[in-house]
Amino acid sequence: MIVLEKVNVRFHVRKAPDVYAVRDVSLHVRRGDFFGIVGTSGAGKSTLLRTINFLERPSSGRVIVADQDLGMLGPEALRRARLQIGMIFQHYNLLQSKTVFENIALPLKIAGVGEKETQQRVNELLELVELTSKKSAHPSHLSGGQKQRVGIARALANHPQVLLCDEPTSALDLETSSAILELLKTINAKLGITMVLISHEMRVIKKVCNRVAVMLDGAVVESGTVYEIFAEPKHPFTVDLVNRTQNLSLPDRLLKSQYGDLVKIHYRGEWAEEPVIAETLRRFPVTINILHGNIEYIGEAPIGTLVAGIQGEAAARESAREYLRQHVAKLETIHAQ
Amino acid sequence: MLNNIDLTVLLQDLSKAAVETAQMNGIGLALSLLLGVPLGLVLFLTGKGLLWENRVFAFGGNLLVNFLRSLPFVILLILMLPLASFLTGRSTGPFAASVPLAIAAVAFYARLVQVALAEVDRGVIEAALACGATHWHVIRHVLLPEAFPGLLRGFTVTAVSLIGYSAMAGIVGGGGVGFLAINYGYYRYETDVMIVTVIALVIVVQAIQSLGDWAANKKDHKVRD
Repeated sequence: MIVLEKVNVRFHVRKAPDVYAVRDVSLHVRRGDFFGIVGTSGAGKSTLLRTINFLERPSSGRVIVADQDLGMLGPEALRRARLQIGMIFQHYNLLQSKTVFENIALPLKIAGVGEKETQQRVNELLELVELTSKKSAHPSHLSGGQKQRVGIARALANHPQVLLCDEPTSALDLETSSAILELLKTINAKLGITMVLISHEMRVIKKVCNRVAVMLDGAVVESGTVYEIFAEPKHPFTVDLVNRTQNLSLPDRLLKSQYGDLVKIHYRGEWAEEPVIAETLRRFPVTINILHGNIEYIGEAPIGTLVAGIQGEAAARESAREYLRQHVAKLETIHAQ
Repeated sequence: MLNNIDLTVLLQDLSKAAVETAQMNGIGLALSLLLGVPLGLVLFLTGKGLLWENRVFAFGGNLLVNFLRSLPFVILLILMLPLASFLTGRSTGPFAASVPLAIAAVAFYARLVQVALAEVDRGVIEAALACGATHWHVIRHVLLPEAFPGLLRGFTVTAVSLIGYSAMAGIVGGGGVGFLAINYGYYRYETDVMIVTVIALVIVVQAIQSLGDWAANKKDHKVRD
């Protein structure tokens, strides 16, 4: 659906070498994907997202959306292509001077849709985003979540094949953010629209995306399914991002005061559902003290992590660790006595 | 003090002057809308990072507007005499005076239009472009409606300034209420006449300002915090 080939975005800076906001990014987003791009602010995510509808023209490389090479299109054809690519923004970017209805009708007006059809389509969209009652309100009278719903309705007005989401929940509180993400997920699933979402939060990506690319300093350092990235992050930056999301850091005091072996147990898929710990305790004369734990479900698949102290005779501890190693996805020994 | 004859004469003079003022300012304001809005749009859109970004054009346009705005109006008035007589066929009267007035008003309003447009959130322009808007769509459906309250406020300021300028138009025989005040009050020491005309001007200006504010606020849906 979307193919990026060696996309570079270069900015000229006076009396300094050019700055690369995006460097050599190649990505492939399949039809129906909910594709996430994660990275810290300034990593070039936003610039990369803007190349997908050519709001930002790449300095080099190709951008192909729905089999159209955007770089080959003239202004009019590019305009037509953009009708197929909806976009929502962190700060909603609604017209303050227009009502909710008029805001959603704007892309239809631009596309030259007739009056009657516009009425009908806007009403449909209002229903989809559950804002029918706010039809005649101005954006200044809406909450952040409601504004983003208007943004979503506007982006969907011309039945796009792709929806670009630029930090759509970063200005919202947690609860509203969840509701908006649910709505985006529904749109992806029910309408089959291919989504590309950028965020600085792994939490957001984990909640809605099926595939993700991790960006650092303008380059994609790692990409894959969200499950793969969470289960086995490879790049140190990704490891750091995932760990921060799982919030598995232990206080130093606790680490120092532990006697026995300290291990980190990683579960994947069905392993997460087996009673491995209970089995270990039954088989070996050790005690296991769970210090920290977390099981997350990405889609349907669980990923679990436990930090535990193992106490007992040295040989028993060794066998317990060996048994665990064979029955879980990964066992890290943080320190052994 | 005013007697009956004087009062009749004064009323006649005042109504003649009012018509002249209305003519001069009407023409000036109409042209400021007709030419000031497009000029302001061009000044804005040729600016950095905008749709028609063009350094030469932006620099030239700004230079022209600054030049016209820095000239004292009296000097502009005299400088424009040849142009006025060429355009209107005469060098005195309200129509001749409306030429320099219009030039001053266009330059003044163009700058206020540019300022009002600069207040429009760039993100909104981007959102429109992202849904396939042409530049004309952006101007018609985003820039002008979003800047509308600002455009109205600027227009009110232009109208009020123009009435002030038009008093000076009397110097080249333009006539008008302001000139009446100068003539009677300043040259003929008829203070009471001057007071009447000044009061009339104050009322007109106050009315224009209130009307402008009312309309602008009615159209303004921005959140102010």
